[in-house]
Amino acid sequence: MTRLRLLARLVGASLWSRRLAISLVALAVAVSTILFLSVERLRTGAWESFASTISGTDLIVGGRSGGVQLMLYSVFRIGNATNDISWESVEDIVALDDVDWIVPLSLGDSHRGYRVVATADAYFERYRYGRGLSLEIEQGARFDDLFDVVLGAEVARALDYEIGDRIVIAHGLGAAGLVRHDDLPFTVSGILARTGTPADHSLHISLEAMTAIHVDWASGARAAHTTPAEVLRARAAEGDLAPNSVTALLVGTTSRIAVFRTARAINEYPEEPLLAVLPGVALQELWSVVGTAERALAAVSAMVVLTAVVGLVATLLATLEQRRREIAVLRALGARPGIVAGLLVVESGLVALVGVLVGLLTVLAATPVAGAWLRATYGLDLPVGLSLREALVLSGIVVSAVLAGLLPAWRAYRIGLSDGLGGGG
Amino acid sequence: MYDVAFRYPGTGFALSVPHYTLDTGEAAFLRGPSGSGKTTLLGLATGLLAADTGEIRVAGRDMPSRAAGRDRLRADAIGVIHQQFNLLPYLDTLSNVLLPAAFGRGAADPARAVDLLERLGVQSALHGAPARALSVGQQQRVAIARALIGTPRLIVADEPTSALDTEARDAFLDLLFESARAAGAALLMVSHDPAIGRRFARADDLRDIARIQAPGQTA
Repeated sequence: MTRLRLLARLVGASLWSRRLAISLVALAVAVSTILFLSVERLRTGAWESFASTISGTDLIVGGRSGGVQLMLYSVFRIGNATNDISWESVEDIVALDDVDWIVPLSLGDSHRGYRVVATADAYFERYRYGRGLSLEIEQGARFDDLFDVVLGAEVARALDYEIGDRIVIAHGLGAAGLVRHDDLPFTVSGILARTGTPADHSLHISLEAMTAIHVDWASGARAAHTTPAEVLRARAAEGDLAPNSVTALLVGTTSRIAVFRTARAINEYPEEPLLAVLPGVALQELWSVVGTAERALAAVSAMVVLTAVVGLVATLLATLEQRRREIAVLRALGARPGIVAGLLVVESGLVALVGVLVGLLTVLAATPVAGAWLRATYGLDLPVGLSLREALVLSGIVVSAVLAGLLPAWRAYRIGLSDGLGGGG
Repeated sequence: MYDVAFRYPGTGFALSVPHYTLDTGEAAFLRGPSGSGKTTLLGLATGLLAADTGEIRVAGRDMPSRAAGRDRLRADAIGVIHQQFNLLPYLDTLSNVLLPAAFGRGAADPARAVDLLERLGVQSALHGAPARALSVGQQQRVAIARALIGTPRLIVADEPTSALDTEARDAFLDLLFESARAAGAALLMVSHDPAIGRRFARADDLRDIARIQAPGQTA
């Protein structure tokens, strides 16, 4: 039998004899690990989901204002646009060499507190979120008739709408007291699958429909006699309902390098003051405003790690008091202080390692399950693998346990040798 | 042991030994009342305590001044039997016997441990059992086996019989004498019980060989 095996058996038997206390310590470490990883995952998941509210779009274009404001009203549908883009400008942008595609968005009307987004068919093809996911129609179809509407998942759920229901759109934003386009009701043609993005809270109609319901309007009021729906359908078929302006454009460019060139061309457009922003830049800017919760979570995960380490050290020190005799026996048999210290360090390191591994495996096993639920309910994308940062913190826990083991080891070194042996005088 | 002096830093208890020797294979008894410094003397002899001045030699080697060196010498050349035997209760019997070998230079030899245990009358059925499952008598035997495993030149026993009745004490001493003789080791036992001293060829009184300075006294 080698010396090492004998020492291993000593550590094993010692741990086994204290298995209840030891497994509680390991459990505490495991729980801390789970807590840390969960908080960390939610934190990065929150940012990643936020950052991928819109993906696959190279530029967002609107009337000249701030990048954050443009992002807020065009993508998050919060607040109002100060300026529109005239249709002539839109045609000029489409004509730019580097522009591959555009999706026009026209905002401003609402339905019972939910925003109405007038757009083109391209919206369903080009809008991407998460890791390149596209919008999917869960029930029904896209707009076919002029007065068709496609509902976001949350709108359909909250207002209990089904395919074929007729709804009336209000002029302007807000929940009550608005003039309603009740002369021209819409029919629900499709309902989108849940995405966890602002699309869930939007009603989508065609640009022509947006023009059509405002044909008889002037200076914010409706004319006494309005054009019947049939006449408007006929005019739409003739292409007579092109919009005068839109609120924002999603723009895709032909290549990555073309993005900045296109942005400059739009920002320096002489006919009208326009603004083009890169979604990633604007999202980052916006996150610095709304990301307080994320920073709070980061503080929480730091506290969790600290608690785990402090608890581990406290427990090891407490058990050391009960083990003075055991340590004195080992030294009486000729164990050098280095060996006793080594045994204690190996022991605390092992306990921490087992705790961390149990916690890690639990989280890795639970992530796919919890992730599917979070994806469906909150649109939160959890990271699947182990990030470098997480790996570093986890090995930090084990390393600090080893360092913490040094403290009892040093105390053991100092404990008087005849101490605890039961010898007299 | 020549001109050895030692003082406990905290209490002021001090002990000095001008001259004390044991020959190879000699068995000596050292008596003294409780608190007279017996355990301190054993602590110095085994290197558990470091002498402030003077010279201690065991098995022809000088006791090193570094703690790790003293531990090494103890692991290599000295077998210690404690008052309460001090087996590790959670560790199996065989590993308890082998434990000193984990700290010394010699290789751990399970066959030798088994042989020692059997000769001391600990049946092989008990070798795998944790030490806490053994009776007091069995624990004594295991403690002797543990003291002998490293083929020590010196066996030191500190009041090993204090927990035993007269019959068990005599049986234990027989076993210890025989084992020490077979191993060719010197035996040094301390006790406050003069009755034990009659079994030894050589019996010393601690007060004859050492000067004690207790707190509050002058030398």
